[in-house]
Amino acid sequence: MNKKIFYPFILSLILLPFVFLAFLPSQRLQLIACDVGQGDAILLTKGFTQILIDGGPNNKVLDCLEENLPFYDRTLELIINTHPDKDHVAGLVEVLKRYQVNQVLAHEFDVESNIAKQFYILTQEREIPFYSPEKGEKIKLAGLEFATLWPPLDKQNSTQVLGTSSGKTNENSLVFHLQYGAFDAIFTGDITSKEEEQIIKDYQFQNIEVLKVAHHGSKYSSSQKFLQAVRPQIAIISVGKNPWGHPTQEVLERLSQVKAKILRTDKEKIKIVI
Amino acid sequence: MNLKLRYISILLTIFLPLYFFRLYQKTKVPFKIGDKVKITSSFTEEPQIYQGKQHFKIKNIKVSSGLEPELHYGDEVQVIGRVSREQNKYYLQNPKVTLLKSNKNLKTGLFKLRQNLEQKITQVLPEPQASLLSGIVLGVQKTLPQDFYQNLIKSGTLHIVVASGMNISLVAGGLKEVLAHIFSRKPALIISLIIIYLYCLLAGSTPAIIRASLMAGALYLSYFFGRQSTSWWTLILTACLMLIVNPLIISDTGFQLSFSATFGLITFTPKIQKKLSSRLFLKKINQPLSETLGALIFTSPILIFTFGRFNPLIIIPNIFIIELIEYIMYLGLIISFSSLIFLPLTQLIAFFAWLPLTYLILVINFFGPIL
Repeated sequence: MNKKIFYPFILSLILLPFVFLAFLPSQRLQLIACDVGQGDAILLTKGFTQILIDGGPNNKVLDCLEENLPFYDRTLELIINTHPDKDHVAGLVEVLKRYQVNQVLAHEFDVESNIAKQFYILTQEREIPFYSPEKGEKIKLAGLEFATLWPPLDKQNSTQVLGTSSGKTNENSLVFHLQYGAFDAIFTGDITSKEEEQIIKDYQFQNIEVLKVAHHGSKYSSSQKFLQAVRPQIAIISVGKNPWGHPTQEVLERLSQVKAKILRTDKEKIKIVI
Repeated sequence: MNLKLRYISILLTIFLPLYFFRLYQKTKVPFKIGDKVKITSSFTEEPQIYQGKQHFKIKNIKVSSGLEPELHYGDEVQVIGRVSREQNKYYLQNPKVTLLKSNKNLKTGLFKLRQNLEQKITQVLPEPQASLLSGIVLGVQKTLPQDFYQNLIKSGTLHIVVASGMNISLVAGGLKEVLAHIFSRKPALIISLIIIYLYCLLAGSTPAIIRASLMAGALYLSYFFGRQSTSWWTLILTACLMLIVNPLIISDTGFQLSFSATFGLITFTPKIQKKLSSRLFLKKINQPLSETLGALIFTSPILIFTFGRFNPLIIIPNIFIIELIEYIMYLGLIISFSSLIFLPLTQLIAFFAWLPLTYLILVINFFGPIL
């Protein structure tokens, strides 16, 4: 046999087990807010289970996945798309192309945007189970429990009705309460104060460790009332360069009033190990 | 020596008139500057995509159009525009491109296959390993991360992601060994020739790939007829043939580099190898060193002329990686084609490729910034 092939092969055979061990993922739950610029992409990892919540506006999410997944794990157990705006869905298209995805949670909107359509089409083509959870439903995966807080079952407001305008996507964002042991986190997508009000009416929050601040810190979200009901210890703002002044001074002030520690993806690397 | 000279002068007297005749044909523009023209034609090559536009030539006139409609080899198009000239080059002003008919043929099929293979590689490997492997096996460069690409240039290792003669000689060499065990000589040669032709198309038929394919083909044919072939002679004839078919590639950097590197490998590498083999210290790296030096002897002037710089220290990273390319290339070919059949198995093979690829990346990213 050719020497140039034989030696590297034998060397690989000896080295690979050690390399595998060296890249063995942590069994603890990790919450990583990927820096994808102006948009959302949050990765939860626990051992070989990975859950990606939104994909950001570009393919930067791929770097985040590569950094946090062992090179031999090419499977994402779950993708959640809160709503199909570009800054939440665009990166997911390339993720679907490159990774094996076991399940997608999202609501299908009738939108104009090409990138969102690509996302829906790819999910279908790859025959990935697609589920649209509604308020009150609970989803369990690898010891993590996701309670759906929004959108409501109310068909009047339902996103599956044809012709739902793209302007309504934010208001129909999926909102989740993640529970893992004593750890609690709330993911809010891009909801506004109006939906927040409805949510706190129907739901009791206790000992929330992490809040993903809604709509990149827009002043029309994260109302005083909502923040006081949730009282998060840590507030994550996923934000990049943008023309709207996100995160707004108003929201930053409201957050400091409830004594939340503010973490911003544009300022630092965010990785919370539980 | 005298005989050699005579052969070369005979070749030149036949080649030069033919070359200039073809050059005239290839640069003749049947329109006047300022003419508004409507041209219907079909593509004989794949349009190049850069700077957000598609670039192609139609009746020797350069056309740059937007990304829509997507144009491919074999497509029949109609182009409307005004003929203009800038720096002695004809181009079409405000071209309007309409796709008349999209033809499916072997080449478009292979183009699809190539995209499919690229996609599959990204499914089993992370970046930049995936792009690097696509580069080594298929010569794809556009997906390489920008900073890594810069490091490839600076460390003088860009040639590993260029579909070049090395790919063909590895494919051809591997084929010969495998097929010789299965078939008798005749069918083995025919199958090899067909596979080399297909791989040439798959790797994008760049001048370097075509050169290597023609030479490998010539080598196979000489086996077939039981004749001896002299490499440098084959090289010169190949160059003449390619220049007569397309006289304009003489200004193509890939063409220049491919021929000068091969010429160095054929003429100088064996001499360097002999010199080095007597020195104990250099014995271990004799082959990679003499190959790198041989390839650089004639390419360095071209590199200086084209890129304005040349750092002789690029020999060092090349010695570190060159011996591994063969292994990676074969693994890459196995990964590419097994991915079309059964992805989980491919995943397993990909782990074996990950290790040397990662080593390559470490070496390139180490030497890139300091050279």
